[in-house]
Formats: sequence, C-alpha cells, structure tokens
Amino acid sequence: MNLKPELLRGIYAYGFERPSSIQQRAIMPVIKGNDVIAQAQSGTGKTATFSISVLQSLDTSIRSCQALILAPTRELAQQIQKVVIALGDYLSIECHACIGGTNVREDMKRLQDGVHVVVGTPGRVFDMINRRALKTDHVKMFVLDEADEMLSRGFKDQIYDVFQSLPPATQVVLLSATMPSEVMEVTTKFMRDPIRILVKKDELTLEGIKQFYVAVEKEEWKLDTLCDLYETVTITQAVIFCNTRRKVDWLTEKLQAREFTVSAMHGDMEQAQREVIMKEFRSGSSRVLIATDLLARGIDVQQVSLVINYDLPSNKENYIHRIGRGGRFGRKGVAINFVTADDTRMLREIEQFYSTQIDEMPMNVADLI
Amino acid sequence: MAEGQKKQKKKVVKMGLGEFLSDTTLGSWADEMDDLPSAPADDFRSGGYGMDRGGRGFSGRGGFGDREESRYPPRAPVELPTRAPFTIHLGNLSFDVAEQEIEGFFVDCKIIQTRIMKDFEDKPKGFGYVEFDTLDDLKRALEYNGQSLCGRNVRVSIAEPPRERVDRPDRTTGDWRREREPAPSGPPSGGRFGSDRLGGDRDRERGDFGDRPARRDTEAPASASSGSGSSRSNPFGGAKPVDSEGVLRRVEEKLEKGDQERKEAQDKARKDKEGKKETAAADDKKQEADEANVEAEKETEANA
Repeated sequence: MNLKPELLRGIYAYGFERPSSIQQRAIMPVIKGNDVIAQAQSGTGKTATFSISVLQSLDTSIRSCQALILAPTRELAQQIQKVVIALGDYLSIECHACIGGTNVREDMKRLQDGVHVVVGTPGRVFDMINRRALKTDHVKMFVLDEADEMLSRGFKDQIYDVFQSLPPATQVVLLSATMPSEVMEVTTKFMRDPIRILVKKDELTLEGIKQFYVAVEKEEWKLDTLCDLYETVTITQAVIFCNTRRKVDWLTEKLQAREFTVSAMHGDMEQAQREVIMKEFRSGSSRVLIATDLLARGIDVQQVSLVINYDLPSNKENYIHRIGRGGRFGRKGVAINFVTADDTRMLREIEQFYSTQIDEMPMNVADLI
Repeated sequence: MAEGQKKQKKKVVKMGLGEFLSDTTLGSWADEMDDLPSAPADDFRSGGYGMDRGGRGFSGRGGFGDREESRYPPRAPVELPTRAPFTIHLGNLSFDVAEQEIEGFFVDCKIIQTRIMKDFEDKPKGFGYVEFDTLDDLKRALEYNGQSLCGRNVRVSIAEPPRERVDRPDRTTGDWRREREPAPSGPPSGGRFGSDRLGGDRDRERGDFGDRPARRDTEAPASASSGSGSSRSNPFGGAKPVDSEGVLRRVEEKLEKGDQERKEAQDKARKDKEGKKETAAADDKKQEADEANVEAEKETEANA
C-alpha cells in the first residue's frame, strides 16, 4: 500500500500481518483523498482502517490538528485514541482525546500545545472549537465513526455545527457496521462524490457469532434465567445489555444481592467512575458488565465472547452492534437473547431483516463459548 | 364448601373500599357519626368520600391541597380534543385491572385501544389511557368519572394531547459544508493528503473550495460488488486475530505517565513561581551583602 515505513512499523508492532477485507478496500481510497463511506461487519478492523489512513496522511511537521475523528461515546473515543497512538508509535505524533466529563481547562491547554489528531465526542469538540482552543484551519480529514449513530437525531445538529466550522474542502470519511437508508440520504448533504464500500444486510451477521434465544415468557422470569446461566456467563467475559439506565442499576442490585459479582456501566455515572469500570473490565478483573447501549458500539474487549440481550434492543441496528461486542476479529462469540412472549415478533423481525438464524439456546451452550 | 360460602355471602357482602364508599344506597358512613358532637358533619353529609373525587386534588377539603397549590398553580383543564386521537387518561386504577375489564367498564363507548402503563418490571403503574373512536365516545366515557372499577374509583379525564414536536427549522437540510474558505488565518494548509504521492487527481476532482464537482459517472468501484457473489465473502480476508491488548495497555500506561508528568510539571511551575519570589528575596540579600563587602573593601583601601 506504499505506507510510510514508520507507520508500517507501528502496524506490525500492533500485531497486524495482513489487512482484513475492509482494510484492503477502504484504506487506499481514503489515503487518495476521496470521501468514503465504509461499512463493514463488527470487529473486522474499521478503527484501524481509518487510523492508518489518518496517520499516513498526516504532515508531522505541522503541529496542528489535521484530522478530526468523532465517536458517539467517550469510551469509544478513548479507545480510538489508543489505537491511533499505538499505530503511530514511530511517527512521533500527538493524538488527544477531547471528551466530555474531563477538565475543560486542561483540555484547552493540551489543544493549544498542539496536537496532530483529535479524537472526541461532539459536544466537547464543538465547545473547544467555539472557545478557539481547537483550531480547525488545518483540518483536512473529518472521520465519523459509528456514522449512522452520529447522523441520527440525537447527534445530527451537533455534527452539522462541527461541519460548519471546518474548511469546506475537508475530506469526509464515514464508518459503521450499519448504514440504514435514512442515513445514506443525509450523507448526500456533505459527501462529495463518495466512494461507497457497503455490505448487504444479509451479510452483516458474522458466522463466528452464534445467536440464540431463551423463551422466558414473562419479564419477571428473566432474572432467574440469568442466574441459572451465571456459570456459563463467567466462562470468559460477558456484556449484558438492558434498555435503560435504571434497569441496569436494578439488575446490578438484584444480582449483587444474590452474591453474583457484576459491574455496571451507563451514562448517568460520573466520568471518573466510568473510566474505572472500563479499566477493570478491560483488564479482566471484572468479568461481567451490565450496560446500556452506551457500550453497544465499537467497544473492543477481546476476551468478551458472550453477549446477553436481557432486553432486546429497541432498534435493529443496535442488535448488530451489541452482538458484535463478542467475537472480535474472527474470534468465536455467542449471543443470547432473552425473549418474552411480547418480544417474539421483534426477534423474528431481526432474524428476517438480517437473514440470519437465531435458534433456541441448546443445553451445551457453554461448549460454544 | 360452596354452600358455606353462599351462606356467608348472604350476611356479608364483600366489596372494595372504594365501592363501599361510593355506594350511596348504603348512605354515608358519616351519617352514623351525626350524633358525635365535634365532627364537622356538614362537610361529610354532602356525600361520602369519593363522590367528588373526579376533580384533581382535594382543594375543597383544606389539608394538603392548599399547600400543593401554593407551589404549583392548578392545571388548566384540558380542552376536549377536536380531532383524533380521542384519548382519556385513567387514574387511580387498581394494579390488578386487566385491559379487558377496562374495555368492559366503558361498555357503550367504542374503544380503539387501551393501554395500562407498566414499569420495566412489568408492574402496572396505576394509570392508563383509552383511545376512543369518536369525540362522542370520549364524552360518554367522561361520565364514568369516579365510578368503581375493580374496587377503586377511577378518575377519568381528558388526556393531554400528544405533545407536538417543536418545529424548529431544520438547519441541516442544506449543504453541510461551509460555503467558502474564511479569510486565511495562517499559512495555507499545504498539499492535500497524499496528493504528492498519488498524483494530483484529487485537485481536479475537488475543484475550488466549496464548489461541488460534478458527480462521477462511474458508480462506486468494484468493492461494492466484488463481495456480492453467491457465497458470503469472508470479511477478514487473510487477516488473523490480533492480540493488541498488550500494545494498548502500554499506550494506556504511556498516556497515564504523560498525564502525571504534565501534572508534575504544573506543580513544579507553580512551585518555581513561589520559589522565584524566595530566590528574588535571597538575591536582594546577597546584593546587600555584596555592597557591604564593597564598602568594606573601600574602607580597607582607604585605611591603607
């Protein structure tokens, strides 16, 4: 691919030997300067795809922000920052994570000291642009990770605002495992002649991730079902998804009362606490994490091989993202969906939508993990 | 067994509290208290509890009502809706009530849908909504206000109309990019990414800042179609799982170290500032001492 030798060194040091499909298809078009929409299955190396492209395109002699990467959650932004730094280890670049919940003044100082790449969440990044701490004159590349989420109702206006502050010629790169058509429609408002690398929705589920359901019939029976599964859950690491913050708290309390060791994570928690929980989970010192969709997207913890949907997600996209927390980069994974009588239709819809098969959970599910 | 129950039933009629209280045929229990001297009998005689329950709050009764209202102005009565949905709010519902029972309750009204609101544990919250076919059905339903359903006097009121989304003008309908480059605030940003290495075709494609180039005729390159054969393409290609956790942990440590160093540097800077004051003071003293020395030297010289 004709990459900078220092970048290649970083790539090999990271452990990559050969590029995955999305890396093979998307890196060159991005490096060439095209606007690119890149869709690829979860855990197949999208973060490295745009990180390598960004690093290849940096002019390290200019110490100001040349690439701006936005992600929907602070945790994901921090994770991306680490990947960029790891891959760019031999390029002597500065990459700063510009996220909410951190000290504003320190953030400003770091930016004013000069960084090459900024990875952040939309609110704080726009704040930094407004305060003139983040100068956008040299930004040449704007990357939206989890683009469909970033362009959905909750974020759209903020992304628009950031867009307005960027030089008009900025190259735009969008990535996600899911690209619903409404989002593709929005992209026409700012993408110029983009190269589209798309995946059909019936190819989105990975064969390595086995999907099952447990018919729990009633909501009240989910808790006991989960407790029965606990031994299976702790074989490796697991993420359990609930649909609301309150329910995450509630389930955590219930499980802890029964003396199961679990930790919890959602957006109502203090940033410092979020960071501790994430660190414990990444290091493996906590093995079961109960979370909202805050962790549905992008988060890469390689030891996670089991995802439980305690509640079915409220949108079809997040189903793909949630189950993609397990089975990272070709590893095995298992997803278990708790399904009440009312949920059955939704489950069938998901099955049909992605042309995938969700079987009843077999007795020997532990052998699959 | 069954007979025994029957016998009992003759003597004792089992009924819910609300039902009992609202049953005017039994008279108000307050009637029996008439003889008691201190009871504010007038208030009670006007009917048992529950008769005028339909209205919100207890304002007429004194007690809590007053305090509440001093803080929150009473809600303006919701006006009858002029167009669908014709929905009522049902309050004070029994936790055991089923949707069918509610539908049975409003016998002469045509119902479109009934919703009992539940929390995430699937426990009913004690209120719900019923949507009726027409305004007349809704008006009829309002007459059921205060009547007993499953042993509780239900409150029937017009539901707040669905909150209309604030129609802020959508700023994002036009082109998202800025129209033109602002006045240059620094040196031009240099060549585009990779353009030197890969030939300058990008410049041609992009045209001037802000000008949208004509759409390329060719559709997205092969990539989109290359994987769409009959068999599923392997998204990993030749790539194998990478164990990057070690690398990332090192990065994390590096970042933490950086943070710490910055913090230490800041602390040091702060200390230096304070230190400078001290050294400045020390310098003054030294200067004085030097001057003294010079004086002394002069003196010795003079003495000599």
